[in-house]
Amino acid sequence: MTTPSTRTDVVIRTYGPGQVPPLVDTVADLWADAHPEIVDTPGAASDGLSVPALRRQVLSHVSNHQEGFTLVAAYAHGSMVGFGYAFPCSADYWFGSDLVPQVPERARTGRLMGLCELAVAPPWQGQGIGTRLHAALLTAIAPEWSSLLVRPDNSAGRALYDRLGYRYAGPYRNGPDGPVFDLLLMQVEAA
Amino acid sequence: MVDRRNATPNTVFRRVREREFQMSRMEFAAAVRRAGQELGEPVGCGARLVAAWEDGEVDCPRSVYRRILTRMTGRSMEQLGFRTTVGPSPAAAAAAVPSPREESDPVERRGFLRDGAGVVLGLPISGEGKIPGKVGAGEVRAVNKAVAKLYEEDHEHGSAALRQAASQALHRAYQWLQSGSYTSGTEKRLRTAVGSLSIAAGWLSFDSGRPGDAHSLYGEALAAARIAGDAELEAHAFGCLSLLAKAQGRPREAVASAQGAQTVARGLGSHRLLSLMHMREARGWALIGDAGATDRAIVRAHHLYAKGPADADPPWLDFYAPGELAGLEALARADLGQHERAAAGAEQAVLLHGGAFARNSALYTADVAIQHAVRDRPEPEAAADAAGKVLAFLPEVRSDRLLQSLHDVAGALQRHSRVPAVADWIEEYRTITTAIGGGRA
Repeated sequence: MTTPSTRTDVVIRTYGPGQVPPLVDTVADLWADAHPEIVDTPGAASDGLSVPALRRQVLSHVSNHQEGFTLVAAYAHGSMVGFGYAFPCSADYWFGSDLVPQVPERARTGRLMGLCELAVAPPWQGQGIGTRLHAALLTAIAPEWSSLLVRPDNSAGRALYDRLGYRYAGPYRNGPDGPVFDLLLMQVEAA
Repeated sequence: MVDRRNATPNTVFRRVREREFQMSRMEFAAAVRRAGQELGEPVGCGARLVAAWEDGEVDCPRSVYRRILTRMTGRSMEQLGFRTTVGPSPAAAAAAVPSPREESDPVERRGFLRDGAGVVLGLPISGEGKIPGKVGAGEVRAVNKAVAKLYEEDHEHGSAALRQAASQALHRAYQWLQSGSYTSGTEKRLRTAVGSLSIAAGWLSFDSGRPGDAHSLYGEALAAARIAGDAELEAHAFGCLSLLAKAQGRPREAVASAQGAQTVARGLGSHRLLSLMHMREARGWALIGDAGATDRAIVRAHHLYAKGPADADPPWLDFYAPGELAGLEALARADLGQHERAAAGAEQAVLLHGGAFARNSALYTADVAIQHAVRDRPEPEAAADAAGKVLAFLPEVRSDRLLQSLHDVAGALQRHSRVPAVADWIEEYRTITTAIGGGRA
């Protein structure tokens, strides 16, 4: 077996909110593949992240942000090998009242995309698939700003986001007892 | 109940269809629907009803069909070979047929269907917990009629309200299968009928956002087909599994299931069925991104389709009209990123459907809007125009899938939200979907 290395074998598909429910099972399996540190390590600190939580999260986002919700998936040789999803949202919703004042004025009023997941199965990482998925989301949602949360210890993810143009905007805590995430923000260059 | 053995085939009518109209039963049924539309009397005629007329199961069509058939052929019912009250032996005919035959037409009880569940699908419900006892041809027929009705209703209106009825009917049919006593011949027919009902119920589950249930029901149907040795049912179940795998983002499985369907369908003598399974395969290849394999499958599908209809075409294949052939190809082209061809194909699909199959017409119109929005050189105005037509379908077609499709249209149009026509449409979309309550049950 040789490791597939051509990019031409990978295709990116863009799905609307109505197409998401039947995809959730496949996406959840892929998420598990992409997060062995959580899924394959019993007792690991998961910060509440798990396959069932991911499923709940996707379905709740798709029903609460139906207008504009976009899921992108990468396929290689007939299987899904990466996915990501995002939706347009207000600054108040995304940053929360504590963080909004720290965000640049223009990012509070411009069209904002909240990026929730971007995952590529380990054998396929490092081949530009994450970058292509991200680009497909920007094309579909056409935002002026994009923002995401990343765990501080996720150095590989952080490197990708730095490369894409994201900058650290502050610490984000999901609830009083929740883990602290790095909030990243990017201004989308006009095409 | 009229015993089939006493039915006299109506050869006159059959000859008119075959010689003068040169149409298959399926095509003739479509012509009846079009003529009904033109007369302002829309009907849900299918190949099954045409067969019932020809086989003599129906002595004389119901009045609305009498008007349509006379309009189409210029002939009276007598001239078309139907038995009416002025027939040779009215008294004998009346004695043999105690109730008006149209009452048992599978398509004529639409009004009742929406009021409740099992009863109106035609499955007699005996008392709670009662053991079914002797099960025979009547029960098999009841299950088959329920299946026909489910498809009829689904084509016309979509499925939100039907799923419950289907699942109750299935529950009842399984009771017969598990606790009834029957001959081995009846068992085979009953298993096939219940398998068909599973597929119909699976489709309705999928259409109302329950892919897990759909997968399980299709699996049951596949098992039923193997037990009964029914190749047509097996092909149908494989075809449904292919469609589902495509929707779930598992294209390799979509291709494999479609190929499985082709293998079992090959000996059945239905080119159209085989054509559909090649189209299902094409959808899988398109999702994989293999343009060459997609094209080959599409060409085979067209080639097989062109061989024409056959009496071996299963009744559920009614929906696979030329519009559907064009539409399915368009969806495959869309997945390959050939958006301009996809838009043109979807437009052709709507045109060819010409008012029949309202739900699928609405879905393809949504696809037209999406393709115009996402193509390399986008046409936002054309997209907004098509999107407006989708909204117009809403009061008539109450399908959760159409509502979901509407959200997909909004998602595809958002990149053009600065174009006034698109902004106007999004406003209207918000108003309507807010009124409906988000659309998700």
